[in-house]
Amino acid sequence: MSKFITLFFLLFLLTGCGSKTYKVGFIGSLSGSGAPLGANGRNGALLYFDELNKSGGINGRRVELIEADVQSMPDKTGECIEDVYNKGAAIVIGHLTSGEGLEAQIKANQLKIPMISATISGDNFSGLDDYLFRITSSNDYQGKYLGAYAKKIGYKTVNIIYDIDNKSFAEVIMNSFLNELGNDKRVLNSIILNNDQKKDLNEVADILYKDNADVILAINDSVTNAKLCQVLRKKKVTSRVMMSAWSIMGALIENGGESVEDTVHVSLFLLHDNEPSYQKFKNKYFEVYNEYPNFSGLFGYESAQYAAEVLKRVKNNDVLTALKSIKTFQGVQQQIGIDEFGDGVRELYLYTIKNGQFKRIE
Amino acid sequence: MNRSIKGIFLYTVLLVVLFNLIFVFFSLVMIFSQMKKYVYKQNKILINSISIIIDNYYEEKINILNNLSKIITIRKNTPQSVSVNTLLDTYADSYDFFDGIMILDEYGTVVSASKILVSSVGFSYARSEFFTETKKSGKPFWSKSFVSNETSNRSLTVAFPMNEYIIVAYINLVVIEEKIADISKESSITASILDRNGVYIVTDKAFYAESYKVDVELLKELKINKSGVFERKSGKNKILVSYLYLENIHWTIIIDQEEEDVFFVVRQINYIQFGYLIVLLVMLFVMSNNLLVKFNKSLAGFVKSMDRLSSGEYSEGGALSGLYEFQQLYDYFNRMQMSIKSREEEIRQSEKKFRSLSENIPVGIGVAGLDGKLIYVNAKFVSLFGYDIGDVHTVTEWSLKAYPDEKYRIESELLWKSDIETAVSSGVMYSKGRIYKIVTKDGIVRDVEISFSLANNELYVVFNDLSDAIAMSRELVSTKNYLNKVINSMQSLIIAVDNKRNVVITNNFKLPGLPFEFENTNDLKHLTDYFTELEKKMNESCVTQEMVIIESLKKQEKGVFYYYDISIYPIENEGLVIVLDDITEKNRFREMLVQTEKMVTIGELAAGMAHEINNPLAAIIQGGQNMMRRLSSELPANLETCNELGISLEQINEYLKRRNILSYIDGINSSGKRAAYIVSNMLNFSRKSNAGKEDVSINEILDFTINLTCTDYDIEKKYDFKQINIVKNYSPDLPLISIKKTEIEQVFINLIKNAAFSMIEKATQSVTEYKPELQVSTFREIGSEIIIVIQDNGGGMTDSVRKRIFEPFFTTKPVGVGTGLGLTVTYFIITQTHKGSISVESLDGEWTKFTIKLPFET
Repeated sequence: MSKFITLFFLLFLLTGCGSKTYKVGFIGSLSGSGAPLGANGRNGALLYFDELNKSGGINGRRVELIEADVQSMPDKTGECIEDVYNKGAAIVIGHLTSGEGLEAQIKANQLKIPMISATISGDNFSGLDDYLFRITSSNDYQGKYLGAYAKKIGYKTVNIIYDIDNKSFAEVIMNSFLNELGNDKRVLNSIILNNDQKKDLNEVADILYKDNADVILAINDSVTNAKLCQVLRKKKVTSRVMMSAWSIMGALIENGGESVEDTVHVSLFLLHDNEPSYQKFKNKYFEVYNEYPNFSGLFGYESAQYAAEVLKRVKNNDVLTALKSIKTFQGVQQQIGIDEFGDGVRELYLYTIKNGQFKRIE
Repeated sequence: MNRSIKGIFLYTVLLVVLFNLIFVFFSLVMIFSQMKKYVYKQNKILINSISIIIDNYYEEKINILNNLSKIITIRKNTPQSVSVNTLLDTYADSYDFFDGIMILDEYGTVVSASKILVSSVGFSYARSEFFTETKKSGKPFWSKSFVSNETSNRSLTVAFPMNEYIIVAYINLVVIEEKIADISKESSITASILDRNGVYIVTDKAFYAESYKVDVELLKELKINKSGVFERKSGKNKILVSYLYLENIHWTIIIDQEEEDVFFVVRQINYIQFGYLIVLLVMLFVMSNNLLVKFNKSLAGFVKSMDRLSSGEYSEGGALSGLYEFQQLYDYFNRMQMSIKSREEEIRQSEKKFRSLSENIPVGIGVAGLDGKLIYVNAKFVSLFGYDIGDVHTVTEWSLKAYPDEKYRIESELLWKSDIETAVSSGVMYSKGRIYKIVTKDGIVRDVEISFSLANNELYVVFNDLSDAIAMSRELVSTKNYLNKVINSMQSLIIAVDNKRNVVITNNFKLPGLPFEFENTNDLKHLTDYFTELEKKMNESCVTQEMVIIESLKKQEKGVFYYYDISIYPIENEGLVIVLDDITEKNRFREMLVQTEKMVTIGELAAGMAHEINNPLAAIIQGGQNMMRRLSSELPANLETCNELGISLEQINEYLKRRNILSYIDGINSSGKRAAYIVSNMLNFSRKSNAGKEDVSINEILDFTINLTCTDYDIEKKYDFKQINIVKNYSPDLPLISIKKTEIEQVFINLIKNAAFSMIEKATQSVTEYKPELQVSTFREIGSEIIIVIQDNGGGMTDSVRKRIFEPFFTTKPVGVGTGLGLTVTYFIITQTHKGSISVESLDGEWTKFTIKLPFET
């Protein structure tokens, strides 16, 4: 009897003891114009950690995602990193535009907190031995792919239009695009969109109409590019529009209607991948979020895979060494390489739109 | 298990507290459960109120758009007209929830728009969800929410069908956000609205309202049920969630309430209850302490009496101060004291007897408790092993000392265990008779038999020291073994029998030539049957009690003669000892010794005689020869002498011839020669010379001799030597031997001829079928002798003949057939010239065997 009572008291005392968790920070725009990108990235990461926790976590420890909203304002990035750092995050997944990435890079180095970016592809981040690691290829590959295609068709005159808020991203693509096009190309106009211009693109369209270039390289978000195409169609601008991977998502077709037909896009992932690993991911994502994932969701998921692999290898709380020890890891669609500077190496794909559907250009 | 009163009291208090805790726990569970139900019920009512607000909100928008549609239709304005644009502006301005309104034609192209959206005119929304869905269903459509690029507000799109056109309005959610915020204000709940994708579109949670937050948990619940409740964790807090999905606009109303807020009051009561329990606990401690002081006082007196009792002092008792209840107990105690006193005396007497018995018993006794602790050892135990109760405290400790060899200790302990188990099951003192080797304190090893018994939860072990008995027994065995070895080592068959003629001891010696092996009692009969006179002599010895000896008993087995001496010794009326000795070899040796002595004497005598005879014999032979020579006409001196005398030599010879004088002279000559031949042989008896020896093969000489003899015999005796079956058993590995070849050939010829003669004699006399056989064997004996055996199956000889066979002039052949010197010469060639030996064995009428041993130098 006395043993039973002692046991009972012990059970009372033990109740409430919990196990430790790994904390992973997530920063990205969960509100504002960048929300579709940021929220999908966050959803992808959440999906992976949910699967991981259900299968027992890492060495029996759960992984908790601590979110911080950049609110589509690049200057809030540093503040957000500090926030998740103070909440005990060991590593941060960043789902950011390249504009936000600059702030992130400075802060991560300052706080010495390793950060994995799902989407930053700006060229000025590559080749640096810093705390920022990426699973995407650098942006100049996007420009190279599009430029090579334009050159193959024989386009010579070019108009460029891009978002002021993602200037560093856009300019890397622009430069590599022009380099690839060769010496006999001619840039007629390079337009940097401010927030007012984004609301009314008629004036911009007038300029483009006047120039009538062979090709317009539009480096903007999906909704802005959709609107741009609508205006161009209305103004009967016949130039071929080429877009960066930033805008390749359903919202482009939904908001662009017929105006986006025949536009050319570079994609960081395979849109119609029938491989079982991607199908499994896609269906799981739909099951949870009621919609299919875009690249942002996929990259969020892969960032989480990468972060988990790092945490499995951490010894003596040295996350940086663990990060550097990984040279390659299996993503959902392909094997993703990580070079000595922590920059991702992966294959890109070209698409056009036919009858409201993305079709791959082989 | 013993407990203190204080312990029991504490235990009781803890039990009370525990039951209180259990009671409080289950009460709380019940209260929480009821309260939870109540909260969900309240929240459901609230959700219903919000759903009415949303319905009104929805209806309001639909009604306004319906109204707008009607106005446009009634005015029969084409949607593209300027007036419609104005109308759309008016509507958009009049209602602050409209961010903009536009009209799409049947192809999804914007044909008309309010001011803020005017740049969209001409845009195609043919592939937008709001167009395709409205076109398909013909019903109003509410899109998922989004953050407007134009206004940065959380917005959604409402599409309303108008004939072939579609009115599209962008609606901001600011108004409904405010209404929801009013509901949540000053209450502990959080009300939110989520769009079709589970994204928070309206909530008073600042973060969720601004962010693109998807409620994954809610989406999961919605898949199961369109309305209901569930719980989730938010940090350390638990949230109670109620929700309702609105089918018409695919929104979900959700109410979150922190469990902590709901159960605040209950928890407060809970804390008070815990406080009460602690106070109760303290009070109980104070009270118990007071009681304990009094209790201890009574107990102290009681304990004092018990102390006296424990030291053997018995008191008559008296009054006890303190608690009344103790006095009664004390009286009982005193009565018990007296009872113990008398019983103790009995025990003391009993123990005295036991001790006396135990200390004088010739075996060691050890008593141990079931825990292995040694309780008692007797004096014998101490004298046996040297350990007293103070030296070793446990059986294990003693075992370590008694069995220093670990392996033996483990084995012994296992045997102990087995014996103890048997003792326990049988219920009596048990010993399997095992002898354990136990090392004493002085290092002496003792042989001890151990018995076990278990009684009154104590193990009684009895140690019987058998060291002396075992040592004596070993001595006896050793002596017996030694005697047996002595008897067994003797080269005679020794049999001891009792008065009933039963064999008591025998060494089972295998006596050569005995046709059976003497192994057991029954064999005495075999023995008396075989040696027929034995039985009689045994009886004689028994009666006279004197030693009786039967000497040189001759027995033949498988063609070999054996000689035995049997000695019978009486053992003081307890039976007899019979000793049988094989004296065959001894006999043979003795015979040979006699023979040798005899032959040497004869040899020397004969040689001496021959030498003396030789001179007169020479004069006789010479005289005879001269006589013949002086009668010859060839000698001129004879003719001259005859002429001088005038006598014719022919006449003289004629005269001598007619008077047979010449034949007498020839007789003198031939007899002289014969005598000279004999004398020449006799002279050889004492000649010992090595000259003329050469290394030859005995086997080759034998073959040569056999061939020569066969031929010789055929011619002389007209006997077909081939009828004799010659069996040769030659050893192939004989060494060459240094001998006088011609002499040895002479020996073999003599022996083979004698054998052949004997076999011919037997063949001529035999009436039955007879197959003559001559066996010639050679072999090498261990050492440096070559042995040649020549055996025939001829007529054999008697013992008296056999003993004289080598003597000169002794012959069994008819007169004139032999000189009687053949075997004598043979004997001396072997023994004198070659330093060997020759012997003969024979069975009269059956066989004769000559054995020659020739030494050789290795």
